Amino acid sequence: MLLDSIVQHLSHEDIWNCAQVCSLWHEIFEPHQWRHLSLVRRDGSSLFKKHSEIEQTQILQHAGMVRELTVSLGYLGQDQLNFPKLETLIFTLKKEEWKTSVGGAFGFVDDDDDDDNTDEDNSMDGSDIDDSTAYEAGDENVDTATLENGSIELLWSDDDDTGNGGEGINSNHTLEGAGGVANNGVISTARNKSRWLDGPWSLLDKTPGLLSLHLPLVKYTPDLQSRLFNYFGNISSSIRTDEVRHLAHLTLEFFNNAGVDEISILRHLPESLLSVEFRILSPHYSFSNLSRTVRYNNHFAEVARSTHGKKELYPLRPLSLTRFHLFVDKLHDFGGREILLWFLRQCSQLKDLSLPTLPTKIDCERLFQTLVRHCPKLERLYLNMRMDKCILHGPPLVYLGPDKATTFESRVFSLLAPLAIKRLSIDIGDDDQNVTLQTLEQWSRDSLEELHLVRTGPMQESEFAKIRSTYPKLHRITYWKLSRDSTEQVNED
Amino acid sequence: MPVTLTSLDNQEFKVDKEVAERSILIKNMIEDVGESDAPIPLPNVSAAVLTKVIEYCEHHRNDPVQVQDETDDPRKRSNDIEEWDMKFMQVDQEMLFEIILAANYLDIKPLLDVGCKTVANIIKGKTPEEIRKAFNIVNDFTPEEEAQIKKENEWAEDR
Repeated sequence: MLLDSIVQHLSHEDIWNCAQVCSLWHEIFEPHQWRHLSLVRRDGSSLFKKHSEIEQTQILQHAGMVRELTVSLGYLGQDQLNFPKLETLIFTLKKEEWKTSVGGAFGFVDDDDDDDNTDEDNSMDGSDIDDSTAYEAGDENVDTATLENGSIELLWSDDDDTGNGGEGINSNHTLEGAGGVANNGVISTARNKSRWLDGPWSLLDKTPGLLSLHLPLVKYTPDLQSRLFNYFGNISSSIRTDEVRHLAHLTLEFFNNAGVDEISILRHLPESLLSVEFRILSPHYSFSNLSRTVRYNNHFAEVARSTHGKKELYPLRPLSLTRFHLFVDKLHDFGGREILLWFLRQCSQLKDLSLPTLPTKIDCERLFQTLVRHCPKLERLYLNMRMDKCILHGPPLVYLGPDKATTFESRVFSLLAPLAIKRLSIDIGDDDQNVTLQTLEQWSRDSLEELHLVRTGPMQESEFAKIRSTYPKLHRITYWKLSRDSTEQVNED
Repeated sequence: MPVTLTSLDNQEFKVDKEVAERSILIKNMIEDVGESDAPIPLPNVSAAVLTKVIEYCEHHRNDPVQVQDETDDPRKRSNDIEEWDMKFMQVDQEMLFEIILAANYLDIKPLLDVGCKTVANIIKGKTPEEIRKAFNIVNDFTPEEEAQIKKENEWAEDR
């Protein structure tokens, strides 16, 4: 046990050196040498087919000791291969991942296709530079414990159709050997692919104790939807109900809506979830088919209106969710607002929320009323207030409140007033008249500690002077400047 | 209130309760026995080692209780030994291993961690021959065995 403590501070190379010291040390360190195994093929050929007999014998002989396995450009389609103690599996076909996967470098690999349309991340407070993203509010708080402690990571590159082992991943038995993956795990799947699904899903079936699930940029098809719903076990027809009992972190990145409604997945999430992040990237997004997916349930019911004004009953389950990030690209309206509002009504523990582009005035009103009433613990909030997108009807910057005309921003903040927001992140778009900032100057909430802003075009420190004096606890202001449309960018070009 | 600890060689050490309770073993013993003046026997720890352990606990008496942080990769943390701890660990190897064993027995996780990191730092970056020198180990492999080990691992290195 003491040796375990020492070994965990050593690199793979150091362990290998230790194993060569003497016969006693060899006996002690050799198993640890197999703790982290990277199988890498530079020529892109099937890994096992090209391995020599001695290599195969070695792998098979020591498979029982492997805890962390990285397979790059490889193929593990050997039925007899079994890794009973495997905790982490990283399966990558990305050529650029070679280097990082060699020598037991494990971990979560960033998706290099993240939206990153900013060219600068400036801190207004020199003593407290904040590199975290203001655009993705709360991202720095992602609990990575489960990423380290037992994970499965499958990475694809878009050019895999050239046949670099892709068929290996696609076959069901590819992941048979990983059946022993520990209870905690991250399943990260291929982008732009649907055919790969069988492998990971067969693996998911074997990891009912999964704590974390990450699906990056997948095509949301009816097939995927049904697999997800089945996996979450909340569909009555599912034979695996209750299998997903521990899932705490869920990240789903969808694109290219294929006639199914992603938001409806909210209705099937397991109750164990603490953190949910959705990214729905769809240039031609439509919720028109939403009403089809609304189901009747009279067990725990609350009356709500469907998108077509027809009354429907939605099941209510108290969720323990504390973090919910919903990023929907180019969504002009919460077409799925009923489901979103219904979902938020269940999130009484919610502390951290990111919302997509704010919806039309009426929806906005209902949304914030729901938040105030049902999510009283909310303290971190991301708002997208790009007015050019979110106001579809009426004058763009004027909201007619119950008593008098007021700006849209003013109405938003007055609706939010009852919440003790500590961290506020806002995308204010190209608000060149500073309406949002001026409104914030009037808002004055004692609770506010951090303010993060994203704006098209430059900002000056002087613009924040009044805000600084308005909020007694405010200790950090950061902003991101979008490169798009910014004067500076134009000049540089 | 002071607590009396008795070492393997029957030497008695009076230490503050909060210092002694850095050891989870002693803390549990005190909780089990309740208020008592009776010395606590530590038959697995010599006076010399206990002196060092007490010195460590005195220095860290006000440290917050360590919470296991699973997000940290130990391989990334092996160099983060505090300066005082590093100096504290500048002892001969026999004492170093005695301290590690005592920390394990007494259940003092931070001290065990520092000890293991110190040993790991001695090993890091060294060739097998250098490790042998550092720990005064005789290479008992026959040339055939050595060749076999290298052969078995050849493919693993070819990456």
